[in-house]
Amino acid sequence: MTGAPTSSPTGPRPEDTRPAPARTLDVGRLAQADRVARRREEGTGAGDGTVSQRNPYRPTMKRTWFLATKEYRAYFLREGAAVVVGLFVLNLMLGMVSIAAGLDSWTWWVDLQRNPFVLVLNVLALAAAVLHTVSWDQLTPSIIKVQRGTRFLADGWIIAQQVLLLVIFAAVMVAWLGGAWS
Amino acid sequence: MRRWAGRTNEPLFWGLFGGGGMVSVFLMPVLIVIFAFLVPFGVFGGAEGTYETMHGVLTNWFVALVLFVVLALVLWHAAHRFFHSLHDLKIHPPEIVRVVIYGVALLAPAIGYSLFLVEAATS
Repeated sequence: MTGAPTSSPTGPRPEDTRPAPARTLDVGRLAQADRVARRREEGTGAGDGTVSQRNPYRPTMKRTWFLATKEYRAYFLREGAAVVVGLFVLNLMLGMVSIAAGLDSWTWWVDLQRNPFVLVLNVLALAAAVLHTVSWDQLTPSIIKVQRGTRFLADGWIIAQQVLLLVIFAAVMVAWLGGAWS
Repeated sequence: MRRWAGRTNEPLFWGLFGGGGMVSVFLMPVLIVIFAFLVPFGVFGGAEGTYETMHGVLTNWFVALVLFVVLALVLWHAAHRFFHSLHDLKIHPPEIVRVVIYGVALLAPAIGYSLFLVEAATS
């Protein structure tokens, strides 16, 4: 500190050498501000009120970032699971064409599902589909808001509606294939 | 042309993605359990029994159209997540990769339904 008298702690600093704020981004001027700030910091230390030293944050992100935490792993598993479900959809479309082509090709498709490789894919697809159902059930209450008067329908009802749809669809399919209408 | 300048097609892509996610919630677990496990392992009378039950209903062109459209939504959902996961893996592919990924999701149901109609008409 120089010996200049300061009557008020909030008054102008006689030794303030900070340049006026640049009107446009001027790299040379910012670098100069850095040097001034660093010099002040070294000279007077903390309490100077200087926060202008630039220390830009440079994010580093590894390609394996999604393995880092539990939440990232859950996110990536969910996204990746969709691809396995997509493969089963292609399989199911093949089954649709097979059943249209006649009993022989339908028998071929049904037997194909017992092929070990296809069976493993199907087990993965089931796990992926269940993961999708659970994660989607968890997120939809945040998106679907049903207003009743001044309040919103509780989250549980939104989830219950989706579970109900699943149960109804399962019941209809089992009843149909079980011969309820034939 | 000018009306579309500076606008994005993302709502369309995202809307189909959301629709696919929604129907996938209650369709896919059931369809996988039934057609990947119960039917192949003979719970509903094997291939012959299920053929008897389903062939008549499924070969109706309208029923098949609805089924292919619904399955197409689920496939679109998968394609959308797959494409955006590439970005998460720090892979930033050229535009052609996006066209191919979403193209499969569009063309597979279209080709499937066309084949279905041909097979249903000739069998």
